[in-house]
Amino acid sequence: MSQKTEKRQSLFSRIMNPKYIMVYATVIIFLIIYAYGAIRYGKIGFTTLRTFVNFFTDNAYYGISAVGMTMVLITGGIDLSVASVASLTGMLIAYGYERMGISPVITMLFSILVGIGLGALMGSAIHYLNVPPFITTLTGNFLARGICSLISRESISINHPLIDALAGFKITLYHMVDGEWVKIKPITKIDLTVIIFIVMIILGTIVLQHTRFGRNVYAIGGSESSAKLMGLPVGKTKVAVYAINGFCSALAGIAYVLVVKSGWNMALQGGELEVISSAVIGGTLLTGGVGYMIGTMFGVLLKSVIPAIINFNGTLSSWWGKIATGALLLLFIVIQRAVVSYTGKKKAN
Amino acid sequence: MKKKTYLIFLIVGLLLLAVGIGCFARICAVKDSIYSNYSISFSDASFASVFINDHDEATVKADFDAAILAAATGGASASEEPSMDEVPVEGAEAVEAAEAEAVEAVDEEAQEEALEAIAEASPYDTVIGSFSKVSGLRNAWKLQGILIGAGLLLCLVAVVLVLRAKNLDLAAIMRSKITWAVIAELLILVVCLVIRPEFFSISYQPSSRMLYGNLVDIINRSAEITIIGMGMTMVIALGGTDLSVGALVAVSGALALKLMRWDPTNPLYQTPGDYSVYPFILVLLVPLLVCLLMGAFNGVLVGQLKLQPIIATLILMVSGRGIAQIITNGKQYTTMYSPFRVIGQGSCLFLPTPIVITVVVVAAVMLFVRKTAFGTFVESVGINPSASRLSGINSKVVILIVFALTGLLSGISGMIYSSRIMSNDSNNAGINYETDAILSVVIGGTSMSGGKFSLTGTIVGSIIIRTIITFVYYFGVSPDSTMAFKALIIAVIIVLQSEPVRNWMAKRSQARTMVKGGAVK
Repeated sequence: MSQKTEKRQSLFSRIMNPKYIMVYATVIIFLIIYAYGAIRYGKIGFTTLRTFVNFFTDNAYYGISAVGMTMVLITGGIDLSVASVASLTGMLIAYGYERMGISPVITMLFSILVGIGLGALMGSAIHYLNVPPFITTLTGNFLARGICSLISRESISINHPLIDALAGFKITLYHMVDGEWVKIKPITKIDLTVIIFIVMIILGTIVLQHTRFGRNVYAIGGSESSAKLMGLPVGKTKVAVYAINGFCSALAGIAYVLVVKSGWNMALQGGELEVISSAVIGGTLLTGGVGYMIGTMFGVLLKSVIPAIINFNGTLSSWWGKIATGALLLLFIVIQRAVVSYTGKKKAN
Repeated sequence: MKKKTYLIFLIVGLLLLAVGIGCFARICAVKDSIYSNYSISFSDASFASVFINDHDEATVKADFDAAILAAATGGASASEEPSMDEVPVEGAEAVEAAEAEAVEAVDEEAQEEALEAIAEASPYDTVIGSFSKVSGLRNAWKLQGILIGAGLLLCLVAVVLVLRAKNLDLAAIMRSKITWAVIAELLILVVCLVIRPEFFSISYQPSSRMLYGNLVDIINRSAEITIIGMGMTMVIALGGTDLSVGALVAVSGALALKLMRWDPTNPLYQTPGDYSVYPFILVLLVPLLVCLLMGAFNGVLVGQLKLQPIIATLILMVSGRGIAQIITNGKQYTTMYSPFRVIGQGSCLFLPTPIVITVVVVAAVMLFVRKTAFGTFVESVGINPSASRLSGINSKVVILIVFALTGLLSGISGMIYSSRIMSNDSNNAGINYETDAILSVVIGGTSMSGGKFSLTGTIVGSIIIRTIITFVYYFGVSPDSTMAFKALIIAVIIVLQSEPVRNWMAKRSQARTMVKGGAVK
């Protein structure tokens, strides 16, 4: 895959590359569900820009974590510790300021370091001790959650001007009407968490698609032993991927703190599976080697559309949301499966 | 086979020894506290009665307290009566305080009367009476002597067997993951024994016909995970994982409670029922059947559609709790139906029923897996699916059976869980069971990448996990923080079991035996 041949291809054929087919499947399902919502609940505001922005806002912290998770899944690993690391971050910030008087800036940096350190530790256990990622990160999950509970078993609310300022930082969207900038109605605001989410997706895409590191990640996921034989730095890359994921989980924890303004030891319980399923719905294969950040983003959006539809309906109870998520997961995986076997047959022919 | 015999002898011996020491420590502790508090000497037989039962000990002491207060102050100071809920030691302290007050308040005659009253109307007699009904357990001293003796004997037999063994492959034992799991379990228990020998005491409660004690409790409480672990072991041997077991536990409980409590003809009936609306056999069978079908659904997704097991079972994990909510319509039913209570809280053969259920299930699964070719099929599909298909194994059917079996076992586990709480709890029933089950399978030595599996190892693994929790609770750590300790201990076990460390250990022990052999020659 030299760059020259890629540049020669037209834009259209580059976009229609069959390797993106999973991403398109996600986008199409998202559009179908969105269209359903628009037809059913268009009159009560489903089609407004505000609702659309809320899809990003609702699960922004899961999205930030999913960026790191996508990389981990591409290497063929898995990380079950993300939610507890995020919860630990929230707890560190809350306890640090409310009980010890440390400025949130320091605790934020510290918790990011904790996230990176824990990730690197787990990555080295996975690579150098050859422990399955599932078990290593499960232990990391217990550890982070346990430390959280050791710090405090009660929810601690944070009252700090910086946190309030960051949480209150919103960009109001305007549009041009008759040559004048007017606020979009209903008033649509973009939160800081959404900005972080989108920036992380863009950064993730750049790292995965346009750097040597990104190519190493894909190579390891494709076949770890081949990557090793090719002389790629497998160990370093794997440890780095888990460290990046730790960074993303800590960042997700900060984003979550901005939403709830408190630290709680049981926060985001089960969040790791939300994150993993977002990435998988976005077309990332758990066996490794395949996955795109943009697909993950649509996976996160899909996860917000279903609760939105249930909310707009108003009569469905929340447990239907669980079943709908399960059913959607089933639908999507079956489609994914069909696409994979179809393209596989095509290639064979 | 031989290797196993030594290990079993050694472990049973050590455990008996520990139980003996634990009972001894407990008797000493109780005797000391009673001597110091009442300054009355009792015969050993009455201590035996204390030894047999924690609960009665508390009530007996409370009776004593009442007697002292009644005699000393003429029943006037009812408000100073120490509360029954207090821990025995604290209760004894309260009695001391009450006694001191009594001395101040009334003259010595009244105190003497009180002591006489205690000596005459000793409630211990009634306890001893009930105790002597159980044949062979008359004397606690004798019993713990027997325990310690038997433990020593078994340890000795094991050591002699090991010493006399000619071709004992120490390197192979060191390389086995189960060895490390057992060593870890024993280490935790040794720490317990050093810090608090009473941890090991086992007592018999005549009223509920059950043995009580931390060791019994560990096995009792590990029942759910052990039962699920049997299925999970085979799922992992196939190279997959089943995340849906926790949700199936919730579904099973919800269905059982609904069948017992939900009466369409009388929907407003609110009182806690000591009856079952549908026949009890249906209450038992329908949830198990539904769980079997849900497991089979997982099996179809993994086997026929060739989905990745984690994702395929994630579907039911996510939606299973929703289904459980829909079954009960979001309600939390409770029941008082006594046959249902037996499953989780009753006794059978002097043991809590969950232990007996576990033994039966484990025996059935082991017979099915090891006495038929099924276990070999599972292993071959796990090692190389396409090769096993070429050799004529229908891997789809094998996968279907394994997942359906796991579903059924989760159903059984769900019945035990809901019988323990006599209620259904769609949000919290079986929470984190999937991770606990997977952990116990991995600690037990089955590789996550599939292939060979060990059901015995899984039992050891699930007992280790429960031991950690019981251990941490026993030393008064808050339940939320147990996770940190669990993580630390599991991390140590996993590092010990990891390939590089095990190879290094095996090499060292091999080198040592070689040096030894060379010296002899």
